[in-house]
Amino acid sequence: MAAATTDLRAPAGRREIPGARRRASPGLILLCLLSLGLFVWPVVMLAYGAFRTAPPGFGHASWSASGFTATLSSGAVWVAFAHSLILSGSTVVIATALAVYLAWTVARTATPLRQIVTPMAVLIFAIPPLFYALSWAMLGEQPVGLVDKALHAMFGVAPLNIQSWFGMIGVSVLGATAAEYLLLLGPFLALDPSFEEASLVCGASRLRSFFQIELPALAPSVLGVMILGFVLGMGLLTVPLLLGEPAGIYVLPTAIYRDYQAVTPPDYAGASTLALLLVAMVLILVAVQTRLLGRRSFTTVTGKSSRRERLDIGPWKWLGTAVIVIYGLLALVLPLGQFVLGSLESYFGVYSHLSLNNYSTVLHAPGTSQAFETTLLVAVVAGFGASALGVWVALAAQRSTSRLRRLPDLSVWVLWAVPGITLSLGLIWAYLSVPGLRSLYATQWIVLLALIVGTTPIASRAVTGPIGQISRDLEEAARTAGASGLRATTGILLRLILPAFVVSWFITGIVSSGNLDIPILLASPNNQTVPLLAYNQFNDGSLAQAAATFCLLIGIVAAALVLAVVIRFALRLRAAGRTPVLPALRPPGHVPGLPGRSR
Amino acid sequence: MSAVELVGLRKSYADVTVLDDFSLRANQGELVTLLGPSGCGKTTTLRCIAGLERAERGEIRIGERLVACPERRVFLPANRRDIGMVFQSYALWPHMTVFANVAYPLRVRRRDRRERQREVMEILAMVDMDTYAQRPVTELSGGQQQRVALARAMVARPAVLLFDEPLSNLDAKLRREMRREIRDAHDKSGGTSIYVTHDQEEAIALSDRVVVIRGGKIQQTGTPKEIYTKPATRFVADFIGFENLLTATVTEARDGSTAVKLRSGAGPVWTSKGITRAPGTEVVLAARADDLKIGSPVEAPPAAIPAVIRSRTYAGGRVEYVAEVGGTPVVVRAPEAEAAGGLLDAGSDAWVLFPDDAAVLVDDDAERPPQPAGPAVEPVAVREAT
Repeated sequence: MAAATTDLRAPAGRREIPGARRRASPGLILLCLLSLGLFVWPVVMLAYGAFRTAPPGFGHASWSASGFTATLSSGAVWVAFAHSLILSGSTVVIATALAVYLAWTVARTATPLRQIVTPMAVLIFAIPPLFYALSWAMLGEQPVGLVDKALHAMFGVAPLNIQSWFGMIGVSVLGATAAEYLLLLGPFLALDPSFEEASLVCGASRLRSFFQIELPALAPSVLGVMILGFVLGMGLLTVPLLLGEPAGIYVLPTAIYRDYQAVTPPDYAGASTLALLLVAMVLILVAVQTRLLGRRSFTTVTGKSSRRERLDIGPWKWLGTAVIVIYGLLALVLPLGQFVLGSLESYFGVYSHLSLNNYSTVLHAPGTSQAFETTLLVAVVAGFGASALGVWVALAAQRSTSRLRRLPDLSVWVLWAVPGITLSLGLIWAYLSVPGLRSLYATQWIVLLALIVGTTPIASRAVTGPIGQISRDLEEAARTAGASGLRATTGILLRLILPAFVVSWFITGIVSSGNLDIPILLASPNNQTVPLLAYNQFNDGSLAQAAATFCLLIGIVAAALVLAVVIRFALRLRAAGRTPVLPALRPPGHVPGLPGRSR
Repeated sequence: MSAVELVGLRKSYADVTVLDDFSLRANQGELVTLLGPSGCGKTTTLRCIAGLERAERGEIRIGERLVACPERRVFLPANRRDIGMVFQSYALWPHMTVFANVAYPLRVRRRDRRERQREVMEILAMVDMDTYAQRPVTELSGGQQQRVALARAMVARPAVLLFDEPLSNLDAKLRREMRREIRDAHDKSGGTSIYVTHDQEEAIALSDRVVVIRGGKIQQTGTPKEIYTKPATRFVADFIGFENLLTATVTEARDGSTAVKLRSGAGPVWTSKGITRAPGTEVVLAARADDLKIGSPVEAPPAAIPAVIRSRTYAGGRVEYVAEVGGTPVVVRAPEAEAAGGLLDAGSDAWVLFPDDAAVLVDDDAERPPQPAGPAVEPVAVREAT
């Protein structure tokens, strides 16, 4: 979640140093092989699977385009495709407008309550999308959901049917806004405030300056975030699964899931073809972005920045406060409240006899402790693995002089083209086709491996920026001071990377713990993760128990967040004790508590 | 007419008062420089004039218009003050070409297309950037960006031009070049300009009038020559480049001339420049290293003060000596050719002469705030790499 790293295009290449060493080191070659195997192989296998009559590794398969053509000639596929476009497109447009408004409010204005937006967005981001889908499914459940009841009490009728287009888009927007806000805040803070001042001095009004100067100057960031949001929206499984499918609305990811899971025998070629459709869509988007922006990157032209005074926008600031409050209510307070309340009900919708029975049922159920153990393991280890890979890839791309140095980085970029469940499908094909790995099928290790692969793109984005800011001079200074190469790398470079690594570990760990797309295809009933457990409970109609399960997970994630904040605070105190920093010398607009803001 | 007038301005951030009871007038057609060290309030003053910052008290007038007066709840926002401003970071909008950047003030003022085209090209030709009109600003060098920023500030012929340390990001040679261009541009515009800098050489070379500011208060106002030759206080003398600031006591005053003796008892030194005080008063004797004379003991003139050479440095055509006079170091720069009796070696005996009227008498500063360690550099924001 490093600031300004939302560009989906592959980063521009480094300037070649004439006469520099071109031979790849053994480490780099190993990394290249690893990247091809982990990141490129699943995508290749996805294409392969579309033209096979049986899944790889199951024998008796032959080449055939019949599955491919049959899928593409089915009208339902194109309806699902259109649905995906509508869902993702409208979500991105609304969420971006909201995120831009919030980022601007926080970065530039003196709006009351602006301080809570970032912590709120971090919390919302940390809560998995499945949770939103579940809690809003409960909130809008007729006639017992909280919101449904409230609307009934107020208007006598409840026009809100959450299992609808309205519900799907609304719930997607809530989550997407927080993520987009976190990605946009950095660029907004980094924007030279004198851009706006220059416009004002030229005679333009505030509003005009915003639309003609500030927003266009931020266009690369905003467009990058929009395309990223669109891609992720295209791959979103949980919300359409819980809120769209019951209303008969299929999108590509739910169609893929059904092809794979709900039809017997599974339609492998069909699922793969749908996935390829999604990949094609993403590639077109990236091409569009490259075409629109070329290689321009506006944020590099900021000069010396002067102190910034927050804008006083008069009574308009209360509009900002209202937006913040309503957003917090819809995205945090209501879903959390419904969950806590729901978890205490003896049967969902029965508001009397609140008790902790569900918790004891859940805790004593045979699968629960195993699910929590698995989730903890995959979150911690997958986060670590993905972050380590991310650091390695970024270091290779930035520090090596070999021709091959860009290969691992490009391999990771390829993964952006296979959002959500598409990747899971590719991973199944990939692992089933390798004899040794096949034995891992349906174990927690394959889930773990898949989550490492799935979250490496995030980790890579989180560490690339900070690593790029570590000047090579620092290592060279260590070398000239007499340190060996190894010592300069470990003592200086890795030590400086450490903060970014920890942030990345934390983010990928949280993302892994709430991921449903991967376990839903790769896990078996005896090694399911918490999100899968909750989803299954929901499917069985045990809503109250699903709520209790998720409350436990949220509690653990919240505890981890609090711990992280405390550690950060303690470290900062320690650092402050060592080197007194004049408050005036701190860079302007620094927001404390935002993980991953590269500094 | 568009004189700029500030009366009794007060501005503070949190608990730090940056400006207090600050008054200043820049007449129509004048180029006034605000000169001072970092944090002295010069940029704040400029930003208050621009309308980018609100003062808590006081009045700002541009021409006949009252543009800011908190007591009377008057505040005209920046976009309605009819000004042009060159920013320290240039603040060229990266998503626009050179032409679009410069055309923007005219677009905002709803000039028609043809007129816009003509005026932009005219002003770009003036700053020698007309061949770059269609380039993206991100592809320009620092000096070129500076020219475009200047063109953008001037294109709408605003009543007042404001410059916020515009040359501080350029190298020395380019800086001298741009200095002349800015002066030319000011003369052609015929308007009033206010220029902020911490570079005394720039202020002296550029301005009609220099205002030296320290801690939010005006230390001295005068023509560049007045400031350069007759600083009013120890601070101004120091800031404007007087190498020698020696504590001295007035011994005699007659015919507008004053004699002082140094703390070591050496003297008298006669000068008619600067303040006049009654005998017995403690003052500061300010002298430039170039104006003093130095020599070996053999041919000492009558008023010479005995000294010991501490060090000698070659300073390009001149030789710079640090000589100790009664325990106080005195810096003297002598032309290389003039070195009577050859160069003086460190440790050798010598004399230092303060010729009549070579030094200026100034008041000591009432209080001397502790000087920050190292050169005064404004904090530079960390660049965000993408």
